[in-house]
Amino acid sequence: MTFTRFLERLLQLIPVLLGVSVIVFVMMALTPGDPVQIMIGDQIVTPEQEAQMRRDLGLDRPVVERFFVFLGNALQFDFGQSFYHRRPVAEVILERLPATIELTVVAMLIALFTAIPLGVLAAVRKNSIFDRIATVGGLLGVSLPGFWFGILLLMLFAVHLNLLPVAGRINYGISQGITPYTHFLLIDTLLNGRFDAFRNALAHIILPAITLGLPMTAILMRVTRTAMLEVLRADYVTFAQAKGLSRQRILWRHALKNALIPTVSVAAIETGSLLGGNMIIETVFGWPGLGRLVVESIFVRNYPLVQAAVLLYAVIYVMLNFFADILYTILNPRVKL
Amino acid sequence: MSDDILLEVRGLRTVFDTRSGQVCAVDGVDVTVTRGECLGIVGESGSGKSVTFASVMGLVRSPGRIEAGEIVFDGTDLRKLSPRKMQALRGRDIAMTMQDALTALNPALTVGEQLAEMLEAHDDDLPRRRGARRAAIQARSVEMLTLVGIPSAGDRLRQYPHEFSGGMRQRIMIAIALASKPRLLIADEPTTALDVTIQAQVLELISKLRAELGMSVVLITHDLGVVAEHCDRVMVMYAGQVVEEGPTARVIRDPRHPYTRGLLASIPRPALRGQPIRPIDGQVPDLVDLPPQCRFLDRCPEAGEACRHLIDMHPAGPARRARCIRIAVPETEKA
Repeated sequence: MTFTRFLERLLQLIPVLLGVSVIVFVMMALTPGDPVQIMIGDQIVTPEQEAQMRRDLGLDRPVVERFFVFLGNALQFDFGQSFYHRRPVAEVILERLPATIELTVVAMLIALFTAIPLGVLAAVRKNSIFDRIATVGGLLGVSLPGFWFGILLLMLFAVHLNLLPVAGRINYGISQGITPYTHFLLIDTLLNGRFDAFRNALAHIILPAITLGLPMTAILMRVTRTAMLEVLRADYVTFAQAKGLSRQRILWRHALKNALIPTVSVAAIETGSLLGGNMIIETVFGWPGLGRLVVESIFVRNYPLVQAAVLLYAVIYVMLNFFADILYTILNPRVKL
Repeated sequence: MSDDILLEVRGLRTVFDTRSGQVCAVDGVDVTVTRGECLGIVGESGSGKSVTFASVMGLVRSPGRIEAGEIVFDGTDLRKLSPRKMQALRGRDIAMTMQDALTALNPALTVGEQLAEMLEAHDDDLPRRRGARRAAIQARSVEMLTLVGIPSAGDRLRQYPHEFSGGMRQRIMIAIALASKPRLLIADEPTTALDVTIQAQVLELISKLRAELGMSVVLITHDLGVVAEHCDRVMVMYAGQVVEEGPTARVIRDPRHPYTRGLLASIPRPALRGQPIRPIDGQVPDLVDLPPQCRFLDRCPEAGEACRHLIDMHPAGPARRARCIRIAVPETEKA
């Protein structure tokens, strides 16, 4: 586990990103709809004006040429102008990224801190009522569509019980005067010593995070349960019992450390899939993050933004896998990267 | 005499409920271990030798359960102890090593941690204060690894089990088991997974430590050669029952049960070079719904009609018993 290995991972990114950009470019080119027409909307323009707009956006060039222009610019970290915002794509994305990262991290933490204890308990009480409920709950968690479950939660907690807000990250009035040190609201509010704002931000994030994390929770719980069942049969658990160790120590130290090895790999991959889930969840909950931005950009055929955002997703995904590899070696001393 | 008895098991019956019926893995087993002795338990796979001592440790796993019997350790009936007290006794008074150290040691924890947790759990002499406690645990760990012959122990505590050779892992497991200075060590097949040369070293080590620490040892094995060299007494098990027991030298010189004779005849010996090894014909009976008859009946070369009912243990000479009706005790040996 060294620097060379890290470089190797970075180099592996090159073909991945190249492939991803080709696919996205082709798909966007094949999608019906014309960004210029969408921008014009109901306004009346002359054919000359329309041709001028097309030239300005570079859309008068053939697709292949556009692709290589994009590639050349991307290599210099220039992702072009957002058609819609008329600002550099990178700037628009960076503005929205913290909200998405915050939501994803909270969803992941919720998933980890509920799934692992529940999975361990389900394994220890195998075939008990608890185990059965967990199994059915797990199945539901994987199968329920996020947009439907999210709306259900909104109806219950926001509309009927009126306990939590319906949309957004924070109430506008409350967010005033908070210095954005990190752009993560949960952290910034605390750094500013604004506990009222922190509570408000927490109330906003809780429903989308639960909805986003639900499938991951369900899957991780199943993986943890299966891994624990296997590990609890191992000789080293018997030997640990023969040593007269406490049940807690055997469970959480001897068994779980081994059971976490498969769980961590799955957790990393599932965190990647949270990025995809974001697009739906952010739309349902009006969360001002990157996911919603990408959905909106697809609707208006904002090619440069979609292209750059998908590349970013690919980078994050590969990095998560790399991170999983590192964790794997920490948990499993038999493996050396 | 009874003061000398450390462990006494009477009428132990351990069963496993399976789909095809109840498997009686241990059926009416009596074991006596006296202080300081080394008792060998011999039998093939499935004879119930490991389950007997898993029962003693209170480590029979579901679907298995102890159905009857008394397990008295130093005057206490272990079956009547609460789970908490049993946990406190495990490791501290009765320690166990397992057949394969590679699977018995936790692959994800360092050897040092696995030793330290044993001391944490059972060593009452450790200082209370954190720093001093850690230093004492470190010192005791080094001492234990050195005792079992692992060089540069201080550095090796930080290593994981897979970084050691097979023989070393076995010694580490023994070091862990003995770290609490138990009064009884149950060594389940301590040498089966090892090379012959390492086998001898590990057995020597157990014998040496037994003498130094004054503990009793139960050596579970299927190797009569190991028993002959290291055990004071031997118990031969077959299909969940004890079929013969007595002082090792006499049992080996003059086995009374046909099964013991069969076992001895199936060992290759230099003196019998050139002659074929004589295995015991047939197979261990299915332990589900055993008929009420001698369990060795189908494989016994000497069986007759009289063997078709339940057979008890019969006296077979001084301090000897065997589960066979055909025992002729020589006049000279009658107690």
